[in-house]
Amino acid sequence: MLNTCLLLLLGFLPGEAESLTAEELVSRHLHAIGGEKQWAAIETMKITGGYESFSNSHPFTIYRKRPDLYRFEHFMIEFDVVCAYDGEKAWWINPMMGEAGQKPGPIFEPQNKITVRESVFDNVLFGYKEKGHSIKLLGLEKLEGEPHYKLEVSIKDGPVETWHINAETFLRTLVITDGYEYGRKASMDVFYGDYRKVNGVMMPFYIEQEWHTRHRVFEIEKIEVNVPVDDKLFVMATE
Amino acid sequence: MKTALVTVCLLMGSMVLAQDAWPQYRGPHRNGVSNTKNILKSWPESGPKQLWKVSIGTGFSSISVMDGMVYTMFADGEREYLGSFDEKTGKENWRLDVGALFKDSFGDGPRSGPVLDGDMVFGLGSNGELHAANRKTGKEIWKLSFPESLNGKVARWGYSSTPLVDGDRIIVETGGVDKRGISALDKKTGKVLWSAYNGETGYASPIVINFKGQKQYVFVTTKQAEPNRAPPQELAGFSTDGKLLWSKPIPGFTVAMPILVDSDKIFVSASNDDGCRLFQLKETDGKYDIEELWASRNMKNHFNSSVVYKGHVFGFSNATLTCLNLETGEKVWTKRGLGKGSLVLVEDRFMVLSDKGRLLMIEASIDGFNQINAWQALEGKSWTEPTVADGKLFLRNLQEMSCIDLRKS
Repeated sequence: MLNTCLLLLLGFLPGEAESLTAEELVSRHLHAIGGEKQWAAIETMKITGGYESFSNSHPFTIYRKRPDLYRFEHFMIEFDVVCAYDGEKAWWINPMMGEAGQKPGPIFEPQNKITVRESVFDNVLFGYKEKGHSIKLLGLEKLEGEPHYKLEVSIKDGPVETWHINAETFLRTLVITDGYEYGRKASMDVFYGDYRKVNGVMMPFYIEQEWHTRHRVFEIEKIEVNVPVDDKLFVMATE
Repeated sequence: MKTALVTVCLLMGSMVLAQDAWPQYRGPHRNGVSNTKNILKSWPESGPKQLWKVSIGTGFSSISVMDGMVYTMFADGEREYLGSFDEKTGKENWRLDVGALFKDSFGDGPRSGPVLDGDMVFGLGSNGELHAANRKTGKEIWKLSFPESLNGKVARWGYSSTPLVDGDRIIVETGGVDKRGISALDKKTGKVLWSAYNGETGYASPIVINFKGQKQYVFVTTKQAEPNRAPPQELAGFSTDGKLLWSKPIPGFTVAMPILVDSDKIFVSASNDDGCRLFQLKETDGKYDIEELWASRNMKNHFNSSVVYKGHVFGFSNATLTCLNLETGEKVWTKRGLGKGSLVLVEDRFMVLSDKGRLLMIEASIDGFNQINAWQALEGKSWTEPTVADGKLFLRNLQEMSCIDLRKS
C-alpha cells in the first residue's frame, strides 16, 4: 500500500505501468537482459564499431574478460588512445596528455574512476546486496515520451546513480552517474538504445554519453562473445 | 516589385541593411530569427532543391547575405580570408586576406562571422586582425590588429566573437587586459573611440539593447584565468561611451550569445554543468541592478546559441535538442541524435543542422519534437549555424558552403 501511494505521489499513472517494488523492478530488469545464468556463460567479449567524439567517428575496439579486465582502443582528434584496467589499476596511452601520455601510464585520480567503472563485466545489480550496493525506487516518469521507472542505485565506494528503466521492456534507457573532466566531477548522462540479443543476453548497440561539454557516441557493429582474448592486452607495458 | 522590395533598405536597430538580409552572425537581430517569409512548409521526399555547393576552405565562420552576395571567412593555405560569393551560383567574387591561419586540432581557420553594413563589410581573423572592406569590391578600407594595437591576447580557440555594428561605430571584444577588453571603433576609419574593462578574449558575441531609453552593449566578459581553471566571466552592460553600467558574475563558461527577452530580461547559458540563467535588469535613479530569476541545468549551450520563441528557449543542451520553459527553466521536451547541432527560426519552422550535416525542418512547437523533413545536406563536422535570407538557406561545414532553396515555387 505504501509503495502504491508513493508511486502515485511520484507520478505513477495507472494503466501505464505496473506498480512494482524496487526488488521486483530489479528482478524484471535482470530477467530482461538475459538473466544471471546466461551472463555467467560469457567469459570474454570483443566489441567493435564506431566511436564518435568531437563530431567525428572512428573505429573502436573494446575487449572484456572476466573478472573485470577491460581495454578500450579508439581514436580521438588526431591520436590513437588506449584506456585499460588490469584488475588493479586503470592505465592509458593517451598522447592528448602530452609527451608523458605517449607511453603507458596510470590514469590519474579521480579520472581513473571512469575506466574502473567501465571495466565491470556484469550488470552491477546481479547480487547487488552481496556486493554492498543498495537500491531505492524513486518513482515513475516519462522519458522521451515513454514511461520509465527511476531507480536509485548506490554503488559501494562509488557514485549514486539514477537508472531510468523502460516500463515496458525493463531495459535501461538512461543512467545518470558521475563523469570527470580533467579530474573535476561532472554529472554524466549515459543513454542506451538499439538493444539486440547476443548469445542469449540483451546488449545495447547504441550508447551515448554526455557530460560537461563532452559528447561521445558508440555505434556498435559487432559484439563477439567467448572469443580468445589474450591477458596481455590488459597489462600495462613498463617499457 | 520583388527586386524593389529587396533593395529597399531599412534601418534595423542601428544597422543599415536590406529587408531580407542576414547581415551578421545570428541574423538581423543577432537572435537566430530570420526575416524571410513564405517558405516551404516541407520539402519532397527526395530532399530540398540545392542551388549550389562549393568548396571554400576550412573554417567555422558563419555566413552573411545581402543584396545577392554571400560572405563568409575561410582559410586557404597558411592564410585566412574574408570572401564574397555570388548568391545565385556560389562563385567567388573576391577575397581579402585577414591574417595568418589559426591552427587547431578541432579545425583550422576563422571562427568569427562577417558583418555587413551598408557598403561595408567587416571581418575578424582568428588572430585578432579586424578588417573593413568595401562590400562590393573587397577593397580594404582599414585594418586593426588587436594584439598589436590594443595588447589583445589570442584566446585558446582564437578570436571568435562577431563584432557589433551600431551606427557609426563597431563594438568589439578586443581582449586587452589593461582596460582594453572591449572597444568601440569608428567604423569608417578603424580609429579607437574608447576601450574599457580588464578582460581577456572570450568567445561570446555582444548584443545591443535599449533598456528604459538607454542603449547598452551587453557582453559576456572573460577575465584572466587561474592555472588549469576556466576563466571567470561576467554578464556586463556598457553605456555607449564605454562606462560599465552593471555586471554580474556568471558561473561556468559561456560561449553562446546572451539573448534579450522582452525588454528587460537576459538569458545566458554556460556550456557546462552550471547551465543557464534568466536575469532581470532593473534601474532605479540611474543605478542598475541585475537579478537572477532562475538557474537551470536543463540548457547547456556549448558553441551554438539558443532561440527564444513563444515564451520558450529552443537550443542544444550540449548534444540534446531541448525546449525549455522560459518562465521556469523547466524542460518541456528533448530530442537526441543530432549531436552538437544548431538551429535558426524562420516563420514557424526551425531549420536544424546536426553536427554532421543532417538538415531537419521541424515544427516550432512547444508540444513536442515534430520533424517535418530530414536530409543529409553536408558531410563531416558541421558546427556553423545555418543562415536564412532571401528565401534561401545557407549552410557550411568545415570545408564547403551550400545554398538551398526554401521558396515556394
